[in-house]
Amino acid sequence: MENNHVIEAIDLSKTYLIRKKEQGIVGSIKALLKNKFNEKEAVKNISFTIDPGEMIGFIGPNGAGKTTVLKMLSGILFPTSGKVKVLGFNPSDRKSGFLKKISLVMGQKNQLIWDLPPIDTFHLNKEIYEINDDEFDKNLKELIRIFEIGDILDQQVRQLSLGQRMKCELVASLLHHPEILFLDEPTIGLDIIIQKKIRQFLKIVNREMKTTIILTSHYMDDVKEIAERVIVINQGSIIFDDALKSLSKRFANYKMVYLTLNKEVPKNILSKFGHIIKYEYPEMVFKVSPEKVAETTFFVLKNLDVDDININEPELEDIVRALFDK
Amino acid sequence: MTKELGNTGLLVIELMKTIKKYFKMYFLLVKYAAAADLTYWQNLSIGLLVEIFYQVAFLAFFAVIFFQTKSIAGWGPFEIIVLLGIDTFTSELLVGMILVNNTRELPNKIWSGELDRNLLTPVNPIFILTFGRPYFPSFISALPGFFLIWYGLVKLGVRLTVIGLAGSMLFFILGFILIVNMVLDFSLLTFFFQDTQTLPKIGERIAFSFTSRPDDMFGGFLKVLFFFLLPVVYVSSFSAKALITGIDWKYLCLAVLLTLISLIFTKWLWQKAIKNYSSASS
Repeated sequence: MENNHVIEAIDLSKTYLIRKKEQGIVGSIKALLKNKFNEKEAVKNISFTIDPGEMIGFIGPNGAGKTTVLKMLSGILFPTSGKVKVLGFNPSDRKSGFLKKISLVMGQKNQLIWDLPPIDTFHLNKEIYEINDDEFDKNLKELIRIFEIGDILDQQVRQLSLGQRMKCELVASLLHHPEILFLDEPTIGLDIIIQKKIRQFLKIVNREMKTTIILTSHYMDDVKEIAERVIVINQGSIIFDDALKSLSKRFANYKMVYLTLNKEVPKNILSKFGHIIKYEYPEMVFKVSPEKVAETTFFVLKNLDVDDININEPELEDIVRALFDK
Repeated sequence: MTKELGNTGLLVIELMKTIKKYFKMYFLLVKYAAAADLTYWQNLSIGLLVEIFYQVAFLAFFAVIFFQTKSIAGWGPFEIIVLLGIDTFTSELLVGMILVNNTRELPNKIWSGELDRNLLTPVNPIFILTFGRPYFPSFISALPGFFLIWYGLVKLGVRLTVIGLAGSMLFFILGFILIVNMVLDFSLLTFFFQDTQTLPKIGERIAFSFTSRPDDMFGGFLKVLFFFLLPVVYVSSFSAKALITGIDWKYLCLAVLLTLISLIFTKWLWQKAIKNYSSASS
């Protein structure tokens, strides 16, 4: 195992036993007498490494195995087979030294004490993680600045908005300066403005605190803005593991052209250049191959009355959807 | 030899540090539980009233028995009052420290995946599951237990000795650990038998039904059961006896041995249980 990897997973698998029960009361009685289980392979022999300071996005449809991977990496779940080392530890041993170096933030579960202000949870974490007074004061001050939560420290958690709570969750998880931060759907349910802020904060945390960030999210904007590298999982297997930009190069060899027309034209006028996705006058959207972009633009500007033209990379959502549809 | 002594010394220092850390943490947990409960003072008042009602009803039950008989298994009314005092203290502490927000909640935590959070903290997960969320009203309603102990001892004309007091406290601590482990063991079975709220209640029922009984009541199979297999007699009965008549050294040694066995068994069961944990999907 190379020393510079913070995470190394080799042939990691996880199989769940799912209890089977027939419908209705008869089914319940039968299940009482005889338990039947189905095996579900949530993660199948996946291998990958992660280096210090990386920002990785795990993406995949529901049930793909992303969260299971995160839970195995953080020591919540025992792998069924395979090997995993995180910061030199076997995560499922849950050694105190290991747990002090990581954090897992789950968008749908909270660690803040519901009836008390967040500052009390921070103080409790100080004891739990054995942070000394000076370090605690320094870290807290730094995190209050980054996450802009100075004005809500003394408010009861239950009275905070979802966005404020998530900021405090992140602060509570970062107080001990973890080397690795696992994030499971951290922006779920948040409005767009707060989502954006959280992403900015996470980038600052990665830059200033050198924290390795591993994220799962359904929001492609999270992945696009935070992750430099993506690991795409489908049905428990890794189907892509590389830099984000090579995802579009490899799986979406086309550009998106967005036109706003001043004058209506026949739909098929541009069909020789690419595939028209949408045409609802005055908006037209079509796909073209990268080598035809110049020719298409020239044609459009010369022959059509155009108010606006935009040429973009395909949306990450579309690439991923196409990838899963394969 | 010097090196060995050095290592032993370091181990002792480490152990002391760990104990200090856990005490400090528990103090904070109780402080925050009190702060949270005091936020809803109406709930706190109702909680206290309910706990006091239980105690009064319990005392009334024994008062009714003593109208009919002079002693229970050789225990007179004031000896029983000392026993009930210790039992009040025990059961209220059990409710406040362990049951309400902790072992009773374990099935929910497993079912909802909330247990994940407990597994991620660098603290012994058994400590967090057992003591993580104290229920403050029970700490207040444990206090009348002292009054009952004092009243019973005064009426019996017992003069406390340091050894008797230390023995009683030792029986109490060992007995309390035994009961906590028993309750926790039943709760841990939830990991193996999914979808049930019943298991934690079995441990509770056994504890509440039998800790307040004089140990001399039990004979034959029941003695084997409550002295060895489900050792609930040490916490109140033997603690009371240590105060009133002196320490029963034979049973003190047995309590120490059983406590060690129960700690090892609970740890073993936890390790088995956690391997069965599949969390909940997000």
